[in-house]
Amino acid sequence: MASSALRIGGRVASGIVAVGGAAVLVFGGALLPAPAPAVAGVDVTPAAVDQYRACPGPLVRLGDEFGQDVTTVNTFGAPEVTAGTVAVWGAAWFPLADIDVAARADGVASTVITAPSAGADDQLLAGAQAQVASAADVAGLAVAGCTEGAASSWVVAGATDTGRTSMLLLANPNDVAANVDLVLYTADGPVEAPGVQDLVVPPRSQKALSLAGYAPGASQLAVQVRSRGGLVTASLQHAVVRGLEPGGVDVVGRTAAPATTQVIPGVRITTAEAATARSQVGGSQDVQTVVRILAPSADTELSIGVAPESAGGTGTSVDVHAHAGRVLDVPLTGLDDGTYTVTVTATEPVVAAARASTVAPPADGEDEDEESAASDSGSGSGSDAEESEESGIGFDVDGPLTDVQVQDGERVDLAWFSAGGPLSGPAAIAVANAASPRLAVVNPGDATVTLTLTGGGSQQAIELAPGASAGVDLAPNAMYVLAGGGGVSASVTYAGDAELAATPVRPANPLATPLTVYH
Amino acid sequence: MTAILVAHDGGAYLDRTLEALAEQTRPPDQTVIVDIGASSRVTEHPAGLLGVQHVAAPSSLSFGDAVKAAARVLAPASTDGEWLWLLAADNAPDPDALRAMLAAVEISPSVSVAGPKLMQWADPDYLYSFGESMTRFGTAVELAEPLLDQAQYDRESDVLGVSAAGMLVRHRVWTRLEGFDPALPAVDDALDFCVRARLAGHRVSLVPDARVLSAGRRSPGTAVLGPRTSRTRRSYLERAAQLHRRLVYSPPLALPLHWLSLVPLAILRALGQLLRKQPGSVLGEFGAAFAVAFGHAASVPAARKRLKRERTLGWTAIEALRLPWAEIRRRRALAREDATSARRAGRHEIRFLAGGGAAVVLVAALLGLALHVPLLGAAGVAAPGLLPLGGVGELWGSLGYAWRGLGDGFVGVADPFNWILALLGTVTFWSPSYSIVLLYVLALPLAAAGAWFAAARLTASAGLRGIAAAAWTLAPTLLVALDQGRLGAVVAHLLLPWLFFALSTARRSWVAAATASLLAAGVLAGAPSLWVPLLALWLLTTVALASAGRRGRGWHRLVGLPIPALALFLPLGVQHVLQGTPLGVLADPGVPLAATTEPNSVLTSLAFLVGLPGAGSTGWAKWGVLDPAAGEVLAVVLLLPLLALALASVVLPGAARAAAALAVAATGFATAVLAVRVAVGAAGEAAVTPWPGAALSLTWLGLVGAAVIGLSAGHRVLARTARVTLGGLAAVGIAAAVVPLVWAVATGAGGAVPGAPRTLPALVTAGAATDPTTGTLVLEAQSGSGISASVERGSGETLEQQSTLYSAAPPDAALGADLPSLAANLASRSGYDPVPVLEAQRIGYVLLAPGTRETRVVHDRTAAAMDANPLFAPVTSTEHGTLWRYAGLDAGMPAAAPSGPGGFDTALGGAILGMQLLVLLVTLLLALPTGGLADWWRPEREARRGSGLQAGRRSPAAVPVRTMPTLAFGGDHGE
Repeated sequence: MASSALRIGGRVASGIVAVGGAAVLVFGGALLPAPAPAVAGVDVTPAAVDQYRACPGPLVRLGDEFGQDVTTVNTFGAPEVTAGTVAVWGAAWFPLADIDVAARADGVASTVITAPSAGADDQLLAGAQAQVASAADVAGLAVAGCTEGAASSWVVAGATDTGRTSMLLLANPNDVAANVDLVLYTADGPVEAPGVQDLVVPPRSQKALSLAGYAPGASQLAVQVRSRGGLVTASLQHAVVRGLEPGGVDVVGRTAAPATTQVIPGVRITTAEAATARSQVGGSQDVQTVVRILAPSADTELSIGVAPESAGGTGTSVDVHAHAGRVLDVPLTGLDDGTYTVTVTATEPVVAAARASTVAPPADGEDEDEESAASDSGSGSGSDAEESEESGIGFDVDGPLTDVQVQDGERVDLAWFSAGGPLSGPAAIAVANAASPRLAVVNPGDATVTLTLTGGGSQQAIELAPGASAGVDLAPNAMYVLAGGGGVSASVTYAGDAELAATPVRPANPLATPLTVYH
Repeated sequence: MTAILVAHDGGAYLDRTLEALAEQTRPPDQTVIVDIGASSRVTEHPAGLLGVQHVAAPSSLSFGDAVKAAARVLAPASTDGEWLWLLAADNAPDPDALRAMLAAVEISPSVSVAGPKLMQWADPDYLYSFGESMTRFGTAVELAEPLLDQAQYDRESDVLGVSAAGMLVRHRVWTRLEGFDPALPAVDDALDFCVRARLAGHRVSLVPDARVLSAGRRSPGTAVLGPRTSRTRRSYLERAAQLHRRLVYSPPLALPLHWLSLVPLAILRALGQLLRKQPGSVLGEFGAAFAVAFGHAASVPAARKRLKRERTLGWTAIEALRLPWAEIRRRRALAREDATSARRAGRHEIRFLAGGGAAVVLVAALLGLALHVPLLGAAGVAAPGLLPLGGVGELWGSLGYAWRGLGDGFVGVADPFNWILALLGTVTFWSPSYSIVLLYVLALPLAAAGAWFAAARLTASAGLRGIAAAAWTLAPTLLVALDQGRLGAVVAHLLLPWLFFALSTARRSWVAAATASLLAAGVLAGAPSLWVPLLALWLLTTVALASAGRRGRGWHRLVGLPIPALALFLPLGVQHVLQGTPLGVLADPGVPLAATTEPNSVLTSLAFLVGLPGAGSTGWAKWGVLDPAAGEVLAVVLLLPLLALALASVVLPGAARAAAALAVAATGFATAVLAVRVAVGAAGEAAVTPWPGAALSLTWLGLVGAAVIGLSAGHRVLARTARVTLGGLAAVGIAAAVVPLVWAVATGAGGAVPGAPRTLPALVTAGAATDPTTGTLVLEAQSGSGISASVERGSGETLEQQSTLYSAAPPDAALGADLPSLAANLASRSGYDPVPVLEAQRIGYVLLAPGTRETRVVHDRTAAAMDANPLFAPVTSTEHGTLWRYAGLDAGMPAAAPSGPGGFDTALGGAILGMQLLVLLVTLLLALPTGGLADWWRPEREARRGSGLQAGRRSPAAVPVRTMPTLAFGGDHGE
């Protein structure tokens, strides 16, 4: 009896030991510290190479200033290029041969600025160009940054419906020819158009083509430019004519590559009330402020946050669904004058850009002279701007699709705000010679960053809390370097009387940052 | 008449012998006790003994020298009638032994040497030795079998020789022949003496009526040969004695030939000893050959001179006394019969066909075939961990210490897994990669067969064997390893049950022990991380058995288990240590795969305990029904019945064995827990740890084993019902847990798919046909600002080219000075001139692996930079990636590709390969089941000379065989 009790006791004990042992193993296995594995690689800084940036050059139009010969692309006016480094003002340059563009007697063309490889932050090359147009069919401020080529560029801007022209400029500053494929996206999805594959851009030249030929009648447009061989710099000139009245112009560079988060800093709204009122008018819907979204690969849910730069302002937030391959304009309403940061967060990669317009009352006689002086250096084409009827009396034109009402000679300019992408290191900023340049910088990260803005003869520290943004007034026609900004996004905006423009600050030499090589 | 008693630590034997000597009906006139014992000096003797003299002698003396020492204290023989009676401590004579012998020699004056009938000490009714002879070749043979003495040998009288024990020899003859040959200290001393006596014209005769005992192998003997003498030493003494006699007896002309043949014969005979499963005799063979060849330079001429001096007759005179061939053949036939019946009795009844094993394997084969039908037509298998195999020549050429063209290239020791790859590839030598297809198709039935046999060691129940086989076949670790292409883990999983099967009889048989050691080498080659648990279990089991006395008998056969694995791993381990990456030796062979397991989580830990190799390995994620964490929870819950059953087995009968099985499971678990915490290499920016799955196969083995032990306990109705219910529950749980894995494979969503026999685009492969040394720089973008670089030659990397030395090495050492600059600058807009490095490394192509969402930034940047590089022309974009061709390739590359020595090209390489080949060959010979062949070739009875045990008494078939091992790793022992 006793022995049987002992045996049973022993069995129970061994069972308890077994179960207890298993429990100890489970928790011991989970709690045993695990050192974080560190994998070493060889850090390599690519060999230094000359820097270059391609500037899009003067504005273009189909036909001449009289609207004749519309199969020819002509340039007009000349942009003022601000180029150089913080250390050395000005840069060496060479022109690009224009393809499919009528040659000009004065030789004004798109240019490539170059500089020796940068050994220090203040030797980073940057350039920007500004041109104010006041022609009968094109008016407004267009500022474009000079940028490096890329194998894949997303340009989110443009429209080809009535009165809107979108000229795509493909600059190949390299010594090898570039084979370019275009993918055009509209609100109805990707465009199946002939002639957008295998466009050859010869070395050191720029090609201009009107997108109306490939995607006619599209009010919402985005382009992907893919190149093999030479890296091309793609930019898009978006000009608007409403009835007979010019409705603004802008030259837009590429926006940041598809990502699940896009940050567009410095969306500057200067005439909120007037623009809202104007957007109610027929044919002027595209005056309203919008965020243009394209999810190239997959349907996505996205949320758009609009945060004011100053603490007191009012922001807004929109949740939308985007279909794959369809360009979507999301209106941003109820925004007061100010500078805003637009943040797009999506479940699938998207590209994004914002558009805003400024609406100025009819001009007095004298500002015509200023504009023509600024834009029409040497050609005299701007003198024809006098022909635009600005009688102050509205009149209607019956269009085939929309009733266009021209409102009292109001002067409208549009601007596209692209995403420059997060900065990985110091970035050089060239401030074009245009009205009231202002740097907007936003820190989307989780940690406070302290930026140093050097240039214009001074140095300035900008401290940004997580999620915060800041604005700094800059001197026109100057060079700056923004350092210490890992992960921040920045842009420079310009606003004047009937003038609005923006250029994003892009990472410097993105193809030459140090790499870690693993085996 | 003088009795010479050589006493060497006699103890109880000596007391009885002295008493028997005193009780002789015809007592010896005087007795000389030569005391060569170190520990127990003989000081007393029975009163009945007359004329006793004590001679103290050095303890190192042989029997013959001790007798000579005794003879020196005697007065020289004055007549032929003076006799010496040689006795050892254990040679207790019958009371009238001496009288009978003296009577026999009195009536035949020509007899100078007489021998008594030696009986076994433990049972005096059994013969031990009665006369000795030689074959034609001089091999010493016993005339009498160690059988019950029924006077069957009593008619023999004239013989060639008699044993030294109890030998009665004329004092004068002893003196004239100078006694025993000093070069024969223990074995064949008496035979040689008798031969010389015969050649000198004397007769050697047997006296059946004189009976003297002998303790045989247990006899105190002398310092040269005693009960503590090892088997190796014994075989050395026997062989040395035979070789010495051969040189002494041979005609002068044949002497050089005999001398030259010593070492070659030793090699041949050593191989033979291995086939006869006598590994202990191998050293003796070589030792004897060398000792006789070089150590007997003085003793052989002396012995020849001694022989020649006294010889009066020709060798033909003793021809008739040699054992004729017919008799030898007859004896061998008898021995063969005995051996065969003994072997039959020792063999375990498995009943593979009748016991349901065949059916289980058939079902597994059908399942494996159904799952892998798409693979059948393919040339190879593509999976994350797999690459094609090279040609058969490349597979074998990759072994040893040879040049490896990974990264910057280095000379390094091959991973031991390359041996398995070479063997696999040779099976389908016309297309080695196809052997992997076959392995995939056959993996499930092979697993089932192995597990079924292993389970047969644990249970007699066909149902339980079937359940165990199914559980092993559907083990999550096997299915995941197949899915991810972890070939090493698959091999380890397939071999583990066979390892257990062999280990369970390893203590009884050299064949099983050698087989187990080869299987262990295979398991470890496939999954080196198993060194940790297997070494621990081996050490524990061997030490436990060695200290367990009788119950641990045969433990010495386990001592050598790790030797083949050590031979394969030692050179690699040394190189890893020299490289500064000692843990790299534990890295899984083949393609390094990034670690994915989250170590610090209770869920991971719980999953490990039930044999699941971590999250995302349950198949649910692939199926897309559940997210990985939820799928893992579900799988763990489904596997809990197995765990519960395994734990419950310790409260059921058979608890000791169940506890051992659970210990195996726990060891595997601990190894898995440690494995995911040890970085042993790198794959790009990701750390590589040993895959925990291999260790979890061991856990699974323990769990299934414990469950089977628990379920096989008890025979009552209740127990049977519980067995069916619980076993069924656990089996259903296992099946349900792996359904998503199986389903993913069946629907083609698995990771292992039909693959092409190359890893580079067709254009490069086509070029490789003309120039297989052209390199392709393969770049793969990483998720950070990183890029991985490697150079593949010809048509791409193959599995046997992989090396853990490379994946474990620090990146600057692995990649050298040039490759990082080349890779980073090609991936950038840079002012770097790549031409010198391209030409020095003979790189003609650059391949950028396809980007993923995480690696898109660096991928696009690299593509952009390469596109803009005028030195390269974009060629094609395939599933392998985007390919650029170096423009300089048209002009031809000026330099040859970097290369280095093959496995046999360096002295070190030759030594390493030679050592590995030797160890593997020796183990293989030992592992070959050639017992029958060896018996046929040269049967030998265990009860042969010296054993002194009663043989032939019990029928071999009556030897009980236990079928249940007592320890999972110890196995059972038959007697």
